[in-house]
Formats: sequence, structure tokens, C-alpha cells
Amino acid sequence: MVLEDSDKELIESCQRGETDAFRALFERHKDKVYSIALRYSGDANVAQDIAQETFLKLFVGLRSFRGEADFSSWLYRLVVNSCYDQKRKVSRFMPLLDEAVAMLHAPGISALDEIVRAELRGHLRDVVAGLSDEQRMLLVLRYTQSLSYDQIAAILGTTNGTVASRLNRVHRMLERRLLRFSSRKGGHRG
Amino acid sequence: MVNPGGQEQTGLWLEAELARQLCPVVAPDALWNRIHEQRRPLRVRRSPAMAWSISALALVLLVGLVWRLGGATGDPNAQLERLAARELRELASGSGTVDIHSGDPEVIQAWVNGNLGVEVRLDDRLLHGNSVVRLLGAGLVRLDKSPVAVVAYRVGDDYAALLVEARRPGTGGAQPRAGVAAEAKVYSWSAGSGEYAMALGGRAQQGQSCLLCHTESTAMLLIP
Repeated sequence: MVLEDSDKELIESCQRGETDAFRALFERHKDKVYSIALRYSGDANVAQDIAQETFLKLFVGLRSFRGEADFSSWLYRLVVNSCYDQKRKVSRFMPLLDEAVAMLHAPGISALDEIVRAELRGHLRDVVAGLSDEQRMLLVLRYTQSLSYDQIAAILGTTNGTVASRLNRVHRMLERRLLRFSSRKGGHRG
Repeated sequence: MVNPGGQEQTGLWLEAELARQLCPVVAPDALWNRIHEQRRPLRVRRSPAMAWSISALALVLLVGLVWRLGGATGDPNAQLERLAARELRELASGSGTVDIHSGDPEVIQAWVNGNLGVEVRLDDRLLHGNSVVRLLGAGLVRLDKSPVAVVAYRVGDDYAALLVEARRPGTGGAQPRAGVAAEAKVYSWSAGSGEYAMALGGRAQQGQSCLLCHTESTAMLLIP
């Protein structure tokens, strides 16, 4: 049963031109690819374009692919590059965290808090829209795929330490801006 | 967050929310169909709407092209040049033949090779955010029952169509040449096992055409 084969066996089947193997490989990895594309772009249509291009590259590249060990990293690199390529075509992606402030709607909040939270949502949207492509991709790989720093470093072609420091920098920046915004709004209330 | 309990609390909140909001999703069922559609084999291009009026216009323009190119009738590349001019117009009108949408030269190269058996080398610089030239995709049409790949580009405010055809048995390589048809610049040349023709919209600047093709092709260097 080809769906239960390992990636290596599926890849070998693809290289022999077995059509079912392409489908099986797609089924195995489609959610991973699409999730990264969607979380990076924030747009379902754009995400499908990215996923489509990723799998086309994958199927083309399989002919010359050797070895199983790096397949996952290779696939991640393909989707990351497709995301960047798509970003160059589209002037502006929707913000990554468009829904990220939905959690702010905690029980027991006042109407004024609701207004502040709505403003916070807009502020977050601006902050995230201002992230660089690399910062956005770091967040997606870390939180969508729960990848380790080592894995992210291998995909992005950098070091573990660089990934750690860049992620830390993004966190600090988001925290600072959220706190600053909250304080400003809190001051207005008093 | 409105009254945060400090940076530590904010950090925890942010960490948890990033994980929650960026959680994985399930790919739509339609995704495979999109990919499968793009991997489909040779497809004959269907006639566009208003075929008669377009054909009449094309005829007038192609007569002009043939005349401009110095009596190209009988020349093996003349037909390809005419087809390039026609595909350019269709591209500009939004009815161009694009079966595979991709801005990745490697994908297009592989697609052309898979359909024609011709190794085309497109400029890798297209991958790196060239703001002037943008690869749009490729499609397949027929010329005297032979498949011809149409590689579509956006060039500045205009378009370009690069046509690739496998060299027919018993024919020699055509000399590179350039001409003008209507408002389009038309080039043709031979390289490797392929015959090439490119039509470039009149609004594109002359130097931009150099960015379109094989960076290593000496044939292109011969074109003024």
C-alpha cells in the first residue's frame, strides 16, 4: 500500500513515474505545506498558489533528488522560497496576526476595554505588517510547525544561534509595542 | 493586555497566542486538482472568442510582419515569428495561452523540457525580484501540428512572448534576426535543439529584452 510507505519509498516510486506515488506524497505533506503558506500569507488563495508552486517544484525536482535524510528540510526550503517568491509578486500580504487578538475577548471586560482591544487589534496588524519576510517566516516555522531552532536553521541556511537571537528579537519587539500601546490606552482611560 | 501584569506576563501571553493563532490547518481538497491540472499533458489551445475578427486583425499584422522581415515566406522561422506576434497580442489582451502559472524559471524550464524535449535556460535573475521583468508562466500551442511552448513575461508596462519549438528533422538552424511588426519587436534565432522567436511589446524598452532569454546563449548576443 503506497500510502503507508516511507518517504524514501514514495520518492523512489515517483522517480519510476508511478502516478499514485505522487498523489500519496502530496497527501502526506499537503497540510504542512499549505499551513506554512497560509500562515505566512494570511490569504487562502495566495496560500493555494504557494502550495501549488511548491508541489510543482517538488515533483520536478524529485527526478534528481537523492537520499531520504534531507527530504523534509528540502521540502521546507521549497515552500519557504515559494512564499518569498509569491511575496515579491503580491504587493502586500494580509497581516499574519489578523486574528491574533481574538483572545483578548476575555470574560468580564468592559465596553471601553472592547474599544481598546479593537484598537489593539489594529495596532498589532500594523506591527506585524511591518515585520520583514524573514521575521514572519521565523514565526511561522516556529509556531505553525513547532520546529526546533536547529531545524529552522537548516531550512533557512543559518545557525541555531542566529535563529534564537532573531526570534528573541521579534518577541521583544512585539512585547514592547503591545505594552506601549496598552499603557497609552490605559492612560487615556484614567 | 489592556492592563498587563508586566513584560513577563505579556511574553507568556504572546507565546501562547502565537502558538494558538498560527496552528496548522488542513489543506483544501481542491489543491490536488490545481496541481494535477498544471501537470496535465499537451493540450491544444482552443479558439478564443471573436476568433474571426482577431484572425482578420492578425492577418493584417502578420502580412506587415512578413513584409518587414524581408520576405520571410518559406523561411522556417517566419511562421514562428508570426505566431510570437500573435501570442503577444493575445497575452496583452488577457487571452494568452498560459497553462502553467509560475514565476520560477526552473519550473518553466522543466515544463518546456517535459513537453518539447528542449532544454531551455531561462535567466535565474528572474527569481530574485527583478522589478522590470517578471515571468508569468507558459502554455502550449500548435504550429503545423507541432507543439510550441509560449513563455509569457511581464516587461515593465508591457508583455513579451518567448516561443520555443523543437527543431524539425532535416532543418538547419536559422540565423538570428530582428524585425518590427505593428508595435512589437520580433526576434528569432536557433540554439541547441530549439528554434526560438520572441515578440516584445512596443512599450517595453529595447534593453529590457536582453533580460528575457538565455544569459549564456551566444545567439542572443548577436541580436542588436
